[in-house]
Amino acid sequence: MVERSSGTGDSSMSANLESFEVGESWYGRVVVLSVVGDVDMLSAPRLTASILTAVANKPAGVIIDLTKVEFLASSGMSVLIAAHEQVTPSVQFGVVAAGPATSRPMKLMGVDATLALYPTLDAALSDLR
Amino acid sequence: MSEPNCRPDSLSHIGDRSRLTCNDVTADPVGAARLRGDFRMWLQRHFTLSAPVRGTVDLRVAYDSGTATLALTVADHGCWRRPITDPLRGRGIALMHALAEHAAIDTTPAGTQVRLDWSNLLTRDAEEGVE
Repeated sequence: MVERSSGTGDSSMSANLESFEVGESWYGRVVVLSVVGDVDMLSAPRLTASILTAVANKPAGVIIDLTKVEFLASSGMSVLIAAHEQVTPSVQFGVVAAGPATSRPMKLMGVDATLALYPTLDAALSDLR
Repeated sequence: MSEPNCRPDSLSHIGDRSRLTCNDVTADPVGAARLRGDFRMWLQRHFTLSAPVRGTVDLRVAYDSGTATLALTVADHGCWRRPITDPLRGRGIALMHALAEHAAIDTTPAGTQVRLDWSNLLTRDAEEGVE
């Protein structure tokens, strides 16, 4: 797997799809998808696939954790909104995002009027469980 | 391995704070990701921060220390898709306007040029007290 290493000036490799991954963890009946890497046109379909896989296991809630995401393209926002439309209201849906790469552009686009955004995973879990 | 994808022209290289030029980059998601990575690397080094047939994309960045202004120009040779009515699409342009201090999008039948400007950038040299 390609590691991001800002110290060596090798950050062009950090945009590589190989450094993108989505982890799945369960907190009771709430599933948390932890995203690592850039969410852009290349990786957005993989995020969609991970969400569909998790939803197939019938969670009561879905949390997309973008804490470790350093770039969120408009295509990534589309994936989140599409997933929200698909699962709610029978399944709860929330997104963890903080900082200039994720929270700021989503708020600038008014996406927070559609999606429930949380600054931390704990805040999201408190609300959804 | 750490060689940037933007090949330097005869006057600039990744250590040149005044400019970064990347020509003929493939206009697909992989090319866009590479440009993003190289631009990120150049920014981090010098500044503190707050198609069926594929075309190419050209990126030029220039920093004027006199006015502390960063000007980014991205030009492609493609054509626009049909107007956006899908609620899941259409945030790219709005994002450019929202994230840049000033954004100008010039469209022609031969391609599109986007100009994004940011002013009052603090360089690493200035922050560290080096000139």
